Amino acid sequence: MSFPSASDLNATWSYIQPGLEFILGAQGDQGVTSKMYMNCYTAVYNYCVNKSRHGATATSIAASSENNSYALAGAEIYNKLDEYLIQFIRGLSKEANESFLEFYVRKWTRFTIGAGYMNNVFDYMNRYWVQKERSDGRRDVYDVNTLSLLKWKSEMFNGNADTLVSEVLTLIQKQRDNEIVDTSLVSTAIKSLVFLGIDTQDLKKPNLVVYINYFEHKFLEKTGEYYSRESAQYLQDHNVVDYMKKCESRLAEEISRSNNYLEEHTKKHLLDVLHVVLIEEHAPEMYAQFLTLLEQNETEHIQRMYKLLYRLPRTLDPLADTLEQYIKDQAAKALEKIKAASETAQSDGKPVKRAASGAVDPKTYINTLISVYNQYNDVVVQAFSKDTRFIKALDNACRHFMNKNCIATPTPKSSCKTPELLAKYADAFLRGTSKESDTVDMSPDNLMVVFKFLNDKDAFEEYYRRSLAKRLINGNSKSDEEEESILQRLQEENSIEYTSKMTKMFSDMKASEDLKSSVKEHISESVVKDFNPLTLAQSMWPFNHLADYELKVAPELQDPFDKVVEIYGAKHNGRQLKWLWNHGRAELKANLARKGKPPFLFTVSNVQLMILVAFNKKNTYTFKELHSVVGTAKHIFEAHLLPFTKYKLIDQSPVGAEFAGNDDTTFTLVDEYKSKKLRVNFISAIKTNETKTEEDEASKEIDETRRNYLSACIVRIMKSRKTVKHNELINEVLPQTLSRFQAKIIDIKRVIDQLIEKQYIQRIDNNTYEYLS
Amino acid sequence: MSNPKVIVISSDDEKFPVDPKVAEKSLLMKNMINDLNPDGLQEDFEIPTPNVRANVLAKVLEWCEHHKNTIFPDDDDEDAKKSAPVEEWDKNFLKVDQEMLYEIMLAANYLNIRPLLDAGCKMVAEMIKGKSPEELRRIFNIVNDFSPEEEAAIRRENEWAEDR
Amino acid sequence: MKKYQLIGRKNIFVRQRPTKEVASYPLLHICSLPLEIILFIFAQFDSSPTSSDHLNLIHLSMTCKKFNAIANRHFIYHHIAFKTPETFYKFSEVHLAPHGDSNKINYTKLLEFSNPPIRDSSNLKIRIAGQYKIESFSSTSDRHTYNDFVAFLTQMLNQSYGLSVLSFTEISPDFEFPVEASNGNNATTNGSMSSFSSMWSKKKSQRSNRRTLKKLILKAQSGWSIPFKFSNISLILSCFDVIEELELVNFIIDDYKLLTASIPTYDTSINTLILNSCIYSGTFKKKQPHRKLTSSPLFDSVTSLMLSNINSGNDLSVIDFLKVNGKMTTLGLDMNSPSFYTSKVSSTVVSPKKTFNFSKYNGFFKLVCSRQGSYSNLHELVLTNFNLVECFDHDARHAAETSDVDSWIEPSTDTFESFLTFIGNIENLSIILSKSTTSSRFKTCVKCGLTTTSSDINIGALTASNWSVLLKPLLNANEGNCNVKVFNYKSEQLFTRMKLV
Repeated sequence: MSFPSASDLNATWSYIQPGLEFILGAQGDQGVTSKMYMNCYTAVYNYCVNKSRHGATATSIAASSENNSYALAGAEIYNKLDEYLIQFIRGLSKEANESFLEFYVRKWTRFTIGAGYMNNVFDYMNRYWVQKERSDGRRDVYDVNTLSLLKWKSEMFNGNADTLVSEVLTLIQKQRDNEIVDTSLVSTAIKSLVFLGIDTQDLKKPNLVVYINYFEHKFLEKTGEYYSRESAQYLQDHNVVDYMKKCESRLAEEISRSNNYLEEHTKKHLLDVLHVVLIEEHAPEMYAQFLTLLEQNETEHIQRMYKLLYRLPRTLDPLADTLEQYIKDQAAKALEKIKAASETAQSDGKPVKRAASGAVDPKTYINTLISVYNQYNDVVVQAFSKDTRFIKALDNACRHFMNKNCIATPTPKSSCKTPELLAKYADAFLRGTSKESDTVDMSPDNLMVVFKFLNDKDAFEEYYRRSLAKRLINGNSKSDEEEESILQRLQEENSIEYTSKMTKMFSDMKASEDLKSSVKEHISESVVKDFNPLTLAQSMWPFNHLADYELKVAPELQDPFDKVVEIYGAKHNGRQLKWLWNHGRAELKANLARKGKPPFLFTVSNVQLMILVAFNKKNTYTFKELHSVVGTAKHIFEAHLLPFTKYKLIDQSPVGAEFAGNDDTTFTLVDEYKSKKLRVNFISAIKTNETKTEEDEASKEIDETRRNYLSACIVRIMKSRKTVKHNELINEVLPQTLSRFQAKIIDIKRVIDQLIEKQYIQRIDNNTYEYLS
Repeated sequence: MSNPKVIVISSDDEKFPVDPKVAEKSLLMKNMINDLNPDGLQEDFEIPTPNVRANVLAKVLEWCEHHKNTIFPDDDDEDAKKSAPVEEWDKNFLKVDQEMLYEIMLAANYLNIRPLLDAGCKMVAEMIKGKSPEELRRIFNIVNDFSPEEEAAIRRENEWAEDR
Repeated sequence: MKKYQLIGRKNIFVRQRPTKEVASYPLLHICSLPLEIILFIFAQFDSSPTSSDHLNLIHLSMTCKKFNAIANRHFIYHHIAFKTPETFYKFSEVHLAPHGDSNKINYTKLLEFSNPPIRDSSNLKIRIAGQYKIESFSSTSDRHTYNDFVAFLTQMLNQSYGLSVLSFTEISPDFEFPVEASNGNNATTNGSMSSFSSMWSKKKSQRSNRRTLKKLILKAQSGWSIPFKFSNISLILSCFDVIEELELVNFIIDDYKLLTASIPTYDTSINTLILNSCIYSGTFKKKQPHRKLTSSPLFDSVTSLMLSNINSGNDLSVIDFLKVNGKMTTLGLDMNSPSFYTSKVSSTVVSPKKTFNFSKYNGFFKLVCSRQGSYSNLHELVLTNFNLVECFDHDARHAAETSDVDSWIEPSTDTFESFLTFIGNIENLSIILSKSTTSSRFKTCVKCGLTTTSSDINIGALTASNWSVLLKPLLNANEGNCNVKVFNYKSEQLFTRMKLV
């Protein structure tokens, strides 16, 4: 076939058009040959080149004028193509047995392939004429591929968009209803919307305008409706656990659908819709189920609920609140139970010795706290993946129930007993004298857990330090390493200041070792075999020097005591030593046994020591004589003397408790002491009211320390700020105390008043304080 | 077939079997090969070029063969292209009579081989450089179609421009 | 621009019928080549600045009618540059009515004047550069005056309807157009010349269509920085309704002078202002400490401000002066400007290494992109000439990736990473990469989250996910509420991310 005359537009077009029919698939699926392709290209080329070679109107007189005679050619071909495309697309018709969607997808698939071919077949026009027109600023001329797509949009898509999209959405719904559908129809139709988003200003920038406006909006709307309906329906017939499983599988389905044939843009919006419809709108049902799941300990389902709600984090907050409240309630119940149990035990049998610390055994109490904590810590770890919201809920709950409960605070106003109980708990497993079987389920770990949640950490320090002091001076710690490791952990958990006193106590103990050995070198072993002096810094140790205990050291024992004072004084000039006669004990050998039997070993207090040593001189004293030899206040003397008469080491005459304190009552040491045991402890039988005083002392000291802490704190703030309003001051002080205790506002006010009295600060009006330097 | 060829057919029906890589120097042929063989070239593929005579096609394919591994600068980097001098091999290759040169340029334009077309344009520009209008008419055999008045008018019109 | 081809002419000039027919040539002849090829050949002579190359085009245009038509239309009259006023006068006598009239000025797209003449010395009170003046006047012919220049130029602008770019280069400090009627009256010797006000009214009565000038460029004589004033552009304002871009090179923007000078009412809008190597002199606040800074009527309609080749951080304050107009929505910054860099001279490398001064400018970028306060109108930031790749610090990123979130050390905000976070706050962000080779190659590494490690990747070959990693702090900033586009120096889009919200 020969080429048409290059100057004849109509002939050229008639030559090209049959080829285009093949290219666009109007001739069925017959292939396009390279000859056909090349012939079309050549015809376009010939037409354009011929025209641009000769000028538009080569034969007219205008050729000699300069107007428009020589220009790039292409406009006529372009217009022909434009017209042809419109006709071609309008001429496409649906077959009777196919849906519009099927028709659209079938034709679109073929058309876009053809448009790609055409773009190359018309390359010569694209290359010069279209390019020039666009660079001259014309925005209504496009390369052939874009032109084809735009024509498709105007002639095929615009008039049928609603039908198309609604058929696509119907298919998607069918798929959701588990019908099998041809997903390629859906994906191709959706892809076509993306291709049709052409920015006529900048052809290189694809946009999603068509996709979003025609499809995405409706898709999201339909999706919301569908799942709103489905979820309401489903929950009517199924329980919440099943519903959650349903949600999981639905979400997975939708995500995979979105990955398969939706634009990335939609994914986020789709999930937003799904999350609201599936999760947020049914969150109340899930919250309601949550308590049941907790009670049944259904960790797996709780986790499922968590993961679901986690998709919309704001829905988790009520869940965390519920958990917090639930833990508080459970803890309260558990504690009520042990309280009731211990009360029954009391009323049942022998009354427990003292009811000072609320009658409940510290171990039972602390272990109950720990078991509640452990139980819900497991839930937080396993079901809530250590989500900070739930860790916080657990912490809040623990902080609440560990500090405020029926045992720790029997009345709302009483100060919390947990620190004291915790210190006792610690003492129980740290003391060497406790039975192994009693302490097997106690541990420093538990101690630390409870400690973490204590509000009044300073109170714990006070009680713990007191028990520690006793363990140290009595030398009955189970293990020094354990003691120190606990100290270390407390320090890490709180601060180095927190443990400073106790650290000092340990170093006092070590220093005393040294002192002991130096003293030992200087004393003869004739009377005193072993002498173990401890020097304890007054402000660190919870001991007071009591004048009532001031005793007279027996002359034969005087030497070691003097040596201590001498050696220590030489080392630390200017330091004052006071003997704490009320602490410390002595072991003495008593040759009161029957002949041939080993001597007895008595463990006695210092006062008792002096009493017994006095009997080395003579066997009988009147009360008055003996008291004047030993010294101390009378009631102390009596109390320490009593165990001897009670355990028949010393005979009292006349017999009878009512005569025990009479000046002329006589006391005679027995010649031969009868006891099954070789070791006799006379200390434990000493009756004083010191335990009671000790507790008072502890709480007094706590109050004192708190006041000091508060006033230091206030002075610090005032010093840097000069003038501060009352409320601001309170608000600054409160958080600073939190690591030690929860300050009460009334206490702060009291301290402020004291500081005003002491003229550290003054009021400058009703509401403001000023620092006085 | 392990190495299918592209068989380029001239207007006078001469067949030139070449490596696809050589044919693809022509963007036109490259696009066509891709369009019509979406799964890659499986067998020999004939491309008729009804506008190119055998002796010109031979010349063009020779150029393509020589440059089959050359990477040319970006099409849209006009400045870089303009300032680059014609390669020595191309210069020798294009040392042909004017008619042949034009025919090669037309073929390069037709087949969309931009670097060859550029080289041709540069060769022509070399011939134009520094010549007076009369010399240009003589070299290129251009008929002076101006009347003397028109010629004078043009001279006057352009006087300002010669200044610069 | 076909539409305008006949409009500009007042007198239709009917030429004599040609005396010779157009010659017909064989197919394989230079004259028979299609226009597209002839344009390629002619283009070989176009951009070259040497005069002999231009002569080639003129000689070609004199060989025959076809070449004459093509050369005139696409080259000689397409882009006209007048190096001296003299050339312009010569041109005007032939091509502008009433002396001569040709349709050539309809081809003109680009018009450039070098050394535009200044008003007669008698009118000048102060001579700033005596030396210079002698030089520039010596070439002015005796027959033509400054007024002729103004008249010719007015005519030219009014008649060349295809004009899109107009530039004045090598401008002397005294260069100005008439502004006030009183100025014009005394100076007018030529009948066609009139005062600005009358030009204005003429313009209004003459035209019904709105005329747009794509670009107007004023470039001060090298070595000078000239205070920009209304009279620098008054004539052009009178000829056009819209000036899409005004580019000033080596000017001083003095807010006080601009605000205190009297400017007649006019209704031409300037949409984009480009300041290249311009100095900002913010003296208004000093001289009028009690008045609020207001916008100059000249810049009332400016919606985009582009700053390039910024030499000092102080010159950035011009943004404040422009944005008080309340319309400015786009800001462009030339990231290759000297002021953004600190030079570190290292002992081993001879050439100092420039590093972007993030510690000084991050605060600025944070403020500009904040969408708050006086920047609430600013919706778009365009960073041009940006060597993004060189700024990217692998080590810093690795550190950021591995660092503990709870780390109590406040992370430094003087880094590229925070820079990205700050600019991610703006609504629309375009980054145009610089042309330099270091900015077209990128080192990828797995540590940064890229899937492969390669020392040298062409930036064009980076995938969208590569970009997402590279720009991570930017894309994550402000909850991803930023449209981001990255282009190469050819304005080809490399990466785009539409805002998520």
